[in-house]
Order: sequence, then structure tokens, then C-alpha cells
Amino acid sequence: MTGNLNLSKEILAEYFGDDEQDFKKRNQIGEVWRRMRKNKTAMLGLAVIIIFALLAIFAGFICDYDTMAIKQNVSIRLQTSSAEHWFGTDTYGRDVFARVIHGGRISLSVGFISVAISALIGGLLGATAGLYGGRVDNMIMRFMDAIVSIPSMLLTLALVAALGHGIRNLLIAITIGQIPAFTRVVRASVLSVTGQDFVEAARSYGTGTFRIIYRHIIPNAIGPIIVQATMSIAGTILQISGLSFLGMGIEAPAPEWGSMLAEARPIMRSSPHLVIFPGMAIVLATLAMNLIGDGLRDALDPKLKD
Amino acid sequence: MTRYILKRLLMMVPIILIVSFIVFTILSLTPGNPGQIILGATAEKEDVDALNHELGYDRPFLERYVNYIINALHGDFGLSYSNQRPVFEEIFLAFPISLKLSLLAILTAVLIGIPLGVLSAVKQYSLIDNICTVLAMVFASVPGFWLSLMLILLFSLRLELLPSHGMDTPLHYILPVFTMSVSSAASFMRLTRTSMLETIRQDYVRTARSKGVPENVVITRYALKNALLPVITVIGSYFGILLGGTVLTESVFALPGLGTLILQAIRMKNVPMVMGATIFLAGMFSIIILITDIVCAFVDPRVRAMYSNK
Repeated sequence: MTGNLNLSKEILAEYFGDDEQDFKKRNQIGEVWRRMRKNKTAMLGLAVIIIFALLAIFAGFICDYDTMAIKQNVSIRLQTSSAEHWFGTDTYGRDVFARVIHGGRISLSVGFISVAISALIGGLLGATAGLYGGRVDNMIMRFMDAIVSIPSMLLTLALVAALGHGIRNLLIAITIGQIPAFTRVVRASVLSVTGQDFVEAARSYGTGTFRIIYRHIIPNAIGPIIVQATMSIAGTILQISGLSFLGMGIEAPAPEWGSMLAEARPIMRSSPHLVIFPGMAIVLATLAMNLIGDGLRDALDPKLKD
Repeated sequence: MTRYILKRLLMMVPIILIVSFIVFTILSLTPGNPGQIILGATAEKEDVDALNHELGYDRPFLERYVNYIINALHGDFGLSYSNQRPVFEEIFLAFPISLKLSLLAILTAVLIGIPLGVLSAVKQYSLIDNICTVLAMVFASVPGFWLSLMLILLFSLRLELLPSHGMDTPLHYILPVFTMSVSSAASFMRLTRTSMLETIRQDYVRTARSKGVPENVVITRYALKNALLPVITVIGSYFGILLGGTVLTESVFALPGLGTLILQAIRMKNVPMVMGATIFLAGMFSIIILITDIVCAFVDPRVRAMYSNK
């Protein structure tokens, strides 16, 4: 028994450095971050998304919204890349770079906010289903099955048509479609935890349900939720641009990556820069989120690493 | 097995009912009324009201919903507002196009994704593995409609090799099918790789190797069979998703499939059309998932045994 203990201490020391105290203090998040930092592609994704976020947050300081992204200036229409207009100008003489970074505000904010809300709602529903089981579980999960079997694009299109255009309605429409994924993830991790011995042990000490949720279920569910959230943000960015491309998302003249593509489509042969830059923005933002999600999944599940 | 299938088919009923209720609710929130849509913006108010009354649009929400369901159970899904034809007639006209696209796309994705996944796993950390993994990551993040635009730009407008819209010849299918298949192919590749890597580390594979079974036989006959099991499930659900998600591709390539039909119907608030198409697609989705589960049971004796015991 003591031999075993010594051995595991050695392994731990090797893994975390010699400082035993240090190991005790280090929490779960710190540990995940350590493993994540070793993953170069995930860090690249993180760097890209931070740059996008900074550009989006400070878009107003970099390029003025009204004069550069909205105001039409036909005398400089359809210019290609230059020192003055990095990504060139569009049909109405608006600066494409300004429109891309202002468009990022919409994609990223709607992406992050809708995923946060759906994670919260989906998480609560999933936890309820997992904890109570039986009838409640059945009802919640059948409802989620129904939402999933409606094609997601169709559901959001119908919701946007019902609620009307605009960022707030787009946000609601996209949030609803994301909820089932979180419900499933949280329900699964609740079920996997509640059956385990350590929860049984905690129960046998007389630990209350609330404390079990807080101490055991949340820490075990948070990893899968974060991974799902990262992937969902990537999916959401694609979905927003798709909706706007179909003319069912953000209304003109507000800059949005998808609607910029739709606008540029008829003249893409003569001005390919108008479809290339907004498209690259979508790809980079989505790719970055997917890379982070992959990295997080590996970092949270050491078994996957060989 | 038969009992299991029947049980699953029965479980579809409440799901389809919930789907119809959700969509009916959303549509009734949509501004506009059917009389105005059918008769046009210039119609007299009396005529519009009379038609709305005839269609039962002036009755309470729940009554309308119950009526709709009762009629639907009798096989009457209503007439399309735009041309007064039965909605399922319209759906069956448009659906083959979407089905053909999705089938070809899923086939392409399987043919590209699985071999590359196996190759990557067998040659883990090699140059080809790295290239495939990076490409799969990138292509999983490319929006299909943007890829379509780029390919149209290159192959239709610049090189003038492939047509950019319509569907008259087999050549017309190349671009839409390819763009639809890309993200699924990327997912299949990644999943096959992971699954294959797990399988080739298992004991029975080592045993086969130590018996002197040639490496290519070990991979194709021994490892692949088990490695593909999780992939089959994903192929099924991706096919369901593709079938319901043709709208963007159809819109870019101007194809008159189900996606285009639904998009127009949603824009027009053509309630019977949207309801019919959604119920149809949700039913198709559930059936595809069921078929996938049955296929899984057939190829995996362990799963099959689980069902026959019950």
C-alpha cells in the first residue's frame, strides 16, 4: 500500500515538478491550461481569435463606422487593395477592411452571447433531466429530439421570418437551435457522474443534493460544456453568415460577412476581392474556434494523448 | 429486432407531433395573413377576410392547430398558398433533386474521408498525416456557400470548365456535390483516423500481426471492420443533416430543390408548405437515424446480440 503511494507520488512529482505543495494548490483550470499551452495549433487558434476580438472591440477606433463602413462614396468604388484601403472598396465605395472588422463585431458577439445563453438554458435542462430521470427526463429529451430533427437552417430561417430581422432576433433564433446540444452534453455527464462511487460515498456522508451538484457534478460537466461551447461558436459563426447570405439575417447596410458575400456575388468575376476577404474572415474565425475546441478537448481528456 | 423497429417507429409519432407544434407556433407568430398572400396586395379587404374565414384563419390558435393535425392524419396537408396545389405534390417534385444532391454528396464524402482517415492513421505523424489533418481542420471550417462561390469563380468564370447553375448534365452536379460533401468528408476523415488509431492498438490486431498476417490485410480485414463502426453512425446523422441543409447550396447554384422551395415558402409565409416540408424532413431525419441504428446492429454482432436478448 505504502509502496503504491510512493510510486504515485513519484509519478506526480515527475509530471508536475518536484514541488509537492505546488501540486496541491494547482487547480483543475490551471492544469488544463498547462496542457493546452503545449498544443501549438490550439494556441494559434487562440491568438487568431484574440486578434479578431480586439479588432472587433476597437473597430470604432480603427475605422469610423459611419464614414468608412456605411457612407457611400461612389468616386472610389471597386478599388482593389491599396495602402489606403487594405482590402479595397466595394460597389458603393465603402472600405472593405472597415466593413470586415465591423462585421466581426456582429458575428463574434452574436456567436459568443447566443452560445452562452444556450449553454445556460441547455445546461439547466440537461441537469434537470439527468438528476430527476424518469418522466421529466423523458419529456425534456423528447422535446430536444424534436428540435434536433428539424433541420437547423430551416428552424432558424422560420424563427427569423417570425421574429423579424435585426441582431436581437437573430440572436434568439440561433440560441434556440443550439440548446439541444448542451442539454445532451450536460445530461450525459450528469448521468456518468451520479452513478459513480465517489458520489455514492458523498451521499453516504449525508451530503445534500445541492452540494453534490456544486462539488461533483459541475466540475465534471464543465469540461464537456466548454468544448461544446467552443465548437458551437464556430458553428454559429457559419450559421449567421449563411442566414445573412440568404438575406434573412442582418439587414443592409449594416456590414455582416455573409451579406457582404451576397452583395458582392453578382460582380465577383470583376472584383474577386469582395468575396475573398469577407470569406477569409469567416474561415479564419471558424477555424480558430475549432482549433481551440480541439485543443481543449485534448487538454481536458489526457487519455486521448498518447 | 422487429419489435425494436416498431417501438422506434412509434416513438417517432410524439416527436413529429412536437415538431409540427413548434413550427406551427413559429409560423403563427410570423406577420401576415394567408388571405392577403393568396389574393395579393391589391385585393379588397372583404375578399381577404372572406378567404381567411374560409381557411379558418380567424379561429383561435389551438383550434387551427388541432384542425391541421386532424386533416394531416387524413392525408390532407393543405394547399400551397402560392399556386393552390397540394403541398406534398410540390414536395415530391422538389425532393428528388435534394435527395440526389445529398446522396451523391454523402457518397463523395465517404469515398474521400474514410480512405484518407485510414491512411492518416496508418502513417501517423507522417507528412501525409499532417497534411490530411490540417486540410480536414480547414475544410471543416469553410462555409459551403463561400466555397461554392470560390469554385464558381475559378471553374466557371475563369477557366470556364464547369457550369455554375442549373442541373441539365452530369457536369452540373460536380460543383454543388463537391461543396456539399467537403465538410462531411473532413469530419469522416478525422473520425476514421481517431477510431483507426484506437483500433490498431488493440490486442487482437497485435495478435494478427504476430501470427504473420500481412500488414495490408491486418488493416483492411481486421482493423477497419471495427474502426468503421463509430463512423457509420456519424455517416447516418450527417446524411440527415445534409438532406435538410441543402438550402444554401441550392440557392448558390439556383437549383429547384426542397431547400429552395422551403426558403421561398418561409419568405412568403406559405404556412401549409412550410409545415408539410418540415414534417416531411423531420420524418426523413428520424427514419434515417433509425436505418443507421439498424445498419449498425447488422454489422456489429455485439449490438445485434443486445437486441435479440430483449
